[in-house]
Amino acid sequence: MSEAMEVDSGKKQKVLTWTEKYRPKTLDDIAHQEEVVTMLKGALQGKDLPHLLFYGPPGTGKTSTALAFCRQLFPSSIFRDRVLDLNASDERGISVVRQKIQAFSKTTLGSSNKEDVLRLKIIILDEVDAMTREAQAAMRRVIEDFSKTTRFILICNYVSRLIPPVVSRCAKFRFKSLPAEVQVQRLRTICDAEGTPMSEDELKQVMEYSEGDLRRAVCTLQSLAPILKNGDESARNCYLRGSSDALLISDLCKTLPSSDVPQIISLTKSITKSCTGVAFIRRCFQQMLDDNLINDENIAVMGKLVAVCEKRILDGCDLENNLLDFLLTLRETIR
Amino acid sequence: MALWVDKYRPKELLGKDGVDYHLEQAKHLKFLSADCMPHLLFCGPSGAGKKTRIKCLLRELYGVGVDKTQLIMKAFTTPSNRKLEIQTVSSNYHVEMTPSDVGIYDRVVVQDLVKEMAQTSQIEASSQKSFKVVVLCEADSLTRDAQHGLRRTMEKYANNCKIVLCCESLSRIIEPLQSRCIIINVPAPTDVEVEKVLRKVIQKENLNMPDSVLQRIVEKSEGNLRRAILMTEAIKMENEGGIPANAQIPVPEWEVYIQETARLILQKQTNDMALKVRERLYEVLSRLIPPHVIFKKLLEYLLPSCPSSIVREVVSEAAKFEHRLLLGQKPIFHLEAFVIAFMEIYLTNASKPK
Amino acid sequence: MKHTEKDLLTTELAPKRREDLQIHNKKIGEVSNWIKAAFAQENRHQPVLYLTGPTGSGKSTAVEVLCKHHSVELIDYSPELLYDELLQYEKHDLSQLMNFLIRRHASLKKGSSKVVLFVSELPDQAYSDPITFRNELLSAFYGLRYPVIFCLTNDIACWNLNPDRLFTNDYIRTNYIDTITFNAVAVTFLKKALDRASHLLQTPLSTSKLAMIAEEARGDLRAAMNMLQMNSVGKDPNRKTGKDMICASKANKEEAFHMIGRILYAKRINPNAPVISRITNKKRKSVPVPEPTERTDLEHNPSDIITMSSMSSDKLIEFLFENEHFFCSDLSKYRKVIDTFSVCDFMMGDWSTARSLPDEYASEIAVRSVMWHNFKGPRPMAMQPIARPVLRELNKQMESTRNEVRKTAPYQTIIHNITDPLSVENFLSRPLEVSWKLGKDQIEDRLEKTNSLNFKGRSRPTKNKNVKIPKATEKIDDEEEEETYTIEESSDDSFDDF
Repeated sequence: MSEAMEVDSGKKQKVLTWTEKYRPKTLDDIAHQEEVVTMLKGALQGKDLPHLLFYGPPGTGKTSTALAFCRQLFPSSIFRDRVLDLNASDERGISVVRQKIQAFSKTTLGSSNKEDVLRLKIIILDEVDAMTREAQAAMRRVIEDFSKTTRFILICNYVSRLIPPVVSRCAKFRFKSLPAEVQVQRLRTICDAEGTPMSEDELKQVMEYSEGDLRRAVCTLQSLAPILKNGDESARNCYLRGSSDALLISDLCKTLPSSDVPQIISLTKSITKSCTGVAFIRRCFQQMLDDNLINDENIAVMGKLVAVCEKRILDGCDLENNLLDFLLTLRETIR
Repeated sequence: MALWVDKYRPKELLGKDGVDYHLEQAKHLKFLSADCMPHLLFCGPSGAGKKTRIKCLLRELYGVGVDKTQLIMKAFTTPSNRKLEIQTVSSNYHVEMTPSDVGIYDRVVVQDLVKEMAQTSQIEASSQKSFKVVVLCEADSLTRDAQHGLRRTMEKYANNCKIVLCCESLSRIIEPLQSRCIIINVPAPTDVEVEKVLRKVIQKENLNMPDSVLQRIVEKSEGNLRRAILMTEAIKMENEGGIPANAQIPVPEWEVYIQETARLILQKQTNDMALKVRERLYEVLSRLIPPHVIFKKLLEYLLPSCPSSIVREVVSEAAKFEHRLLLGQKPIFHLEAFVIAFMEIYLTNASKPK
Repeated sequence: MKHTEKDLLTTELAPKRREDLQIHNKKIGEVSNWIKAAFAQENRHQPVLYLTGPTGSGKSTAVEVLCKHHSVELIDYSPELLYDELLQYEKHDLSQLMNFLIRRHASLKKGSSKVVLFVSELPDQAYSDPITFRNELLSAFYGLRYPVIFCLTNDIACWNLNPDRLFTNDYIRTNYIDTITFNAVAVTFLKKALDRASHLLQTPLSTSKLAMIAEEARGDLRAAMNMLQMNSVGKDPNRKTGKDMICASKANKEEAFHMIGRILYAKRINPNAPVISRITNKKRKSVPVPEPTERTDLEHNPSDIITMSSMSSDKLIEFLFENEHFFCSDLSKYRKVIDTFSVCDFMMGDWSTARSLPDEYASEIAVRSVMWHNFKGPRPMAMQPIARPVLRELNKQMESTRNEVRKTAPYQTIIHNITDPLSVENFLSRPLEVSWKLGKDQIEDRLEKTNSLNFKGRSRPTKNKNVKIPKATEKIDDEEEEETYTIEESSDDSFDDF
């Protein structure tokens, strides 16, 4: 979005984040979301455009698609007048919905010129799942009232967080997570463009670390760039190596069934100091499942416990206690 | 009169007055500050040295001007016209604050602060960095709202304002925020490292400390360097003449009190005892000890005396009640509920035929 | 003129003259001056007055009396309630108010040229959409023909319905609205007013009773009058009733602890009847056998008991928590009850559920749990006074400590990080034998005696005697209402039937 970066006073050039720099600028650049792209291309040719709802895991290109579409739709001269971009970090309570969005929708369109294919205004609402229920309810009236002149593009991660009336007014498009090869490809292009060569393995690790989220991978690359340029082998290993959790977990699997309680307590203490938090419990459980260590009956029980522990930790409880709880129960079920 | 913790705090990343452990990491931090600096997220247990490193990094970036700090009460107005005040520590180049002080309004405060920092540019743009730094402490108590708001703000003002977050555990930081920062994991120092630092301090203070006492301090601090240094200072205060080999490490009084309470619980498990325990818990609560700390300590003192068969049940109950404690309004309910649950479990176990 | 028992005292005995007004002279002066000035010259715009104050402080009465004094006619705004077909409730909207403000009013008294419009309530629409209200009011201001007085109560707990939210300081300033704020009526004035009214009754009440009413009313003159009326009915109004006066607007204390008693004692019909075991005969392996319902029916329905008093759920649970252990000796039962309390607190912790379903559920669950588990529990031999929950005091104490600590700012980070009060505040570092219950002053006395090593060169903070002198002109805090539960010292005899 053009107002994304604050321009520095003259001397230094704008330093963009790589996510912005390499964001796809046209619909063709968007990888792997064919349905959406086809539909949008059709709209560019003058066919009608419904309200849209883009949802899916983070880092799959939802915001980029919306922006690219708008950029292709409106020439830059009328871009500002026709497109409004509201985000979770802006004020988005009910009052803002009513005032700002209404005000924007109400202003009449400028004179049409030949390039103006679609006589509509577009409002992009990013991260809609963070809006309160009341604000969403207010929004649905606004969507209805102004659908003659304005189209809404809603972007969110979880459709379940939106109220049904809002969802039913839009055409839903699910953005699939990008497959591994596509991601690695993109990462390599970026790396080469920025002059930080990386090996295939390292790229794969970055990608795994980001768990399918392309934006996260690019961010990681950018953040690590200074270290990678100046640092040595050990630095690369330190940051790019898979987390130490894997080692801990495999150790754990071997020793758990036979340890007694005091051992487990001290083990928990040491894990708490070095583990990455709640993800540890999840990964541990995953590993146990993969190794088939838990019998069928207990999978449900353990699954439930993992969910409960995670909820508790995310609410702010002590990691050690919950980890202890998890490990002790695990030990009993394995036996 | 400065505490030793502040007197002997390292003032730079590497070099004579540099940090004493995690040296590789310090080197990397130096690289980051030289080049285009990203947003940072420092995480690690308490007393491991996160704040120290942040300070050193700031000095690396801006020089000694960073040390001239002032305590300013900044005022903010929420959209619902409510006035808030929050205390910030700021210098010409950076601002440090704890957003959780304002509770649920932290989003407004954080965003306003970042915008303000981003808009006021540096005076001499040539010799200095083009950005300012905002340090947010206790980032894991930021509300979800605040974190979501922060992620876009971080992108928008990335050029003028770098954000450094400081938290104890990554679990409560949302993923998008994690992906926008570099995560600097500052693990707790090992016992050897703690000992090394303590020896340095002792030497500088010309203190005579027998090894046994030192060892005990190292053990008791459990990787929390701040606690270790404070304990050392406290021991010195207690034993003005000289430190005997069997000097006791002063434990905070409330800890002893809780230990006593735990002993009482293990001794007798009846309603009357529960009442007495309740009185004692009130006493500790009135000293402003946070309830979850009481909980943890209580559990710590109870567990060793539990027979193995009931440990799991006790821990599971503890986790359950701690969770409720965090979300509820009246901590004493949950504390007492846990105590009674423990009593019953213990009692039924004790009366089971072996 | 003696009062015949037909009408409300508030209307009958309302002051008719300026001297009768039991409000501070200064305020009367302010209002009087405003009224005079409103007609003094040709102002460019008609003046607007925003008159606020707590309920029952004498605002409308003062305006009426003074207008009469200055021979100004007062036209009251009485909106028509329109029935909204769609939403099926009666509402009156902004347009009516604006209309009232702008149009020409026929004067009721011939020859009187001075008219003032008097608005004592605002339409709901104003509260739900303040911005529109302000804009429309602004345009109405330009078309005003007469001065307007907005006389509104602003000590409402709910901010959404508070007129201060509509008339913000900015708005008032930019539109040159005048403001006068009334304070709650002082006790002396209340007494005088009550005196005056009481003497007009058939049997005037004794001074001690009047004094009690004056205290209970807390600055609300209207409530005082109502209480006076209620207490003067019956044969002998001056009968000795101790402290259980019928206080019109406050929750009945007796009821409250009747209720708690009923819950804790949990009487059942025929508790010693032979045990009826209703366990099912079939025992399936994986399904746990339900606890046999050995209990007979309760004498009182739990839901009814809860409605006996208007106590909020969390206070009810606090009371139960404080007293439960006397009534339940078995550890496992006690565990279950306390667990229930813990769950209830957890449910009510989230602010968004306040005053909604979980809140109601909480009290129901807690009460039922207590009543179930107190079956055949021990009954304390002597009369057990129901103890007041200690939690409130504890919280207050903690708050004051916290404020003290906050003043020494840099140390706050130390407290948070190591929770070791040793190195910080002398108040915190007092030895644990000096109980928190003693109260701040006494604690400081004790500390003076014991020589604490933990003092590091900080001079003792001066003891300031923050004795709060209850002035009736101060804003009355709603919280304090609860503190007057004098349950422990009550001389009432409601426990006789147990």
